[in-house]
Amino acid sequence: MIDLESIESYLQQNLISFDSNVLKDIVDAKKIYIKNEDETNANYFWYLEKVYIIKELYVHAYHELVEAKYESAWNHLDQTDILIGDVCENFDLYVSDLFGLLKIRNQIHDLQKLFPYVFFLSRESVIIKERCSICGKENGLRNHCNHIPGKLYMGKMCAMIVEKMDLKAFALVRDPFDKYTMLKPEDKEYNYFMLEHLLINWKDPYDFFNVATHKEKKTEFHSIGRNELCPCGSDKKYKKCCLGTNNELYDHHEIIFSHPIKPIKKITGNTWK
Amino acid sequence: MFNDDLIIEYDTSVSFENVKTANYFSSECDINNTDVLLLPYERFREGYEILFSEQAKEILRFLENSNQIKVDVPCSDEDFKEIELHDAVFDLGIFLLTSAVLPVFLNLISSYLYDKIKKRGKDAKAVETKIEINVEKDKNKTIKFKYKGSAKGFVDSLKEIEKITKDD
Repeated sequence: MIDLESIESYLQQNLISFDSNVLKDIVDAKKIYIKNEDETNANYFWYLEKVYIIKELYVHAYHELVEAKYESAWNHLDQTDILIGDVCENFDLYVSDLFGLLKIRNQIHDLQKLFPYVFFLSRESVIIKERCSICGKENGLRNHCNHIPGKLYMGKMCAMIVEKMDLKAFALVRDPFDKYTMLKPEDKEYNYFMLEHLLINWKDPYDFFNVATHKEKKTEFHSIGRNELCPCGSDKKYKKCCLGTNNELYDHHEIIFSHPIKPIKKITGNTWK
Repeated sequence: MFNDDLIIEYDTSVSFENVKTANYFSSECDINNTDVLLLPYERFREGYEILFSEQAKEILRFLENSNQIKVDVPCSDEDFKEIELHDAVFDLGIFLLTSAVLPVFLNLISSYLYDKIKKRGKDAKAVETKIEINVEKDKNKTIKFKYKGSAKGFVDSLKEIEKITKDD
């Protein structure tokens, strides 16, 4: 029988390299619990399996950042964030976060602020027919099963499988649900200068830092008189245009480590190279 | 303090009686034994007379499972369709309810919202939400509260919604 204690202590470490035999042991144990209809343990081993995958994906994304594979790192960080969300649906990490997943999630959310992506595509679709992944029953308004999407049932997470949908439109949004949909114009190249500067000091994925965001005035608005033309190019007076609005401000991100680092001068950059 | 993201309309025509006359109304809805109705967006997208927000079924089941209020939808099963907009705004939907259940409803819907935000690890000040609550006080006397803004701002305005309903 599997040694739960040794698996838990393995997963509690700040893992950098991963032993796939541990994952195999977890998955095999989960199958046995499912076969024995032991739902509590089947669900707990689903959790352990996800902890392994989350840490592996997170470390993988870190290495991609180091190798300047930013887009792929972004997608893997997003997947990691979604998986932690799945765990949170079923286990209250705010009560007990045995494997440090909330720290990883906070780090992902801070890392996402340092990417240059601004606009994303968001799918608009009408769901015509969907079915429960656990029991296969069609999910109608009044006629439906009792399985709740996102919740665990005997080591499996319930999802609604959309069988028929009507795609209506794509919208441009700033804060999408699907973060992998960032725009990639053919003639433009993203400028990852914030990540490049972070990586000068970030040598360990578990060396967690914070990103504090302040609003600061854009350089072109610094010495403009109220009655001068607005730097935004509107042909209006500054006082009747951007003065006192968010248009003259930008987000300044300050990266704060818990230990001394090599000093970096304040830098500014654009979304595009 | 008045919340700028909250728009209030007095004496609107939205009512349980008027919903019964809507084109989409179906006898599948047990409207006479319902405290809260989830109303559709009308003509929101071409090809659909009515549509519901993408979390509609989830919210309905959450409210039903509380066993504190009776919830229904005024259309047939067949006409009920959700539109996924896939942006990060929490669209809680359009509700019509009696003033008697307003405190319970506000308590439940804010718990639902905060639980979602917590599980996604987001900051309630940074998460945008929208909701429309139509509170029927007497026949043909309904107050509409439309909110679009931060989730925290919505929760902060709950007392204001209750007070305005009580005072009107």
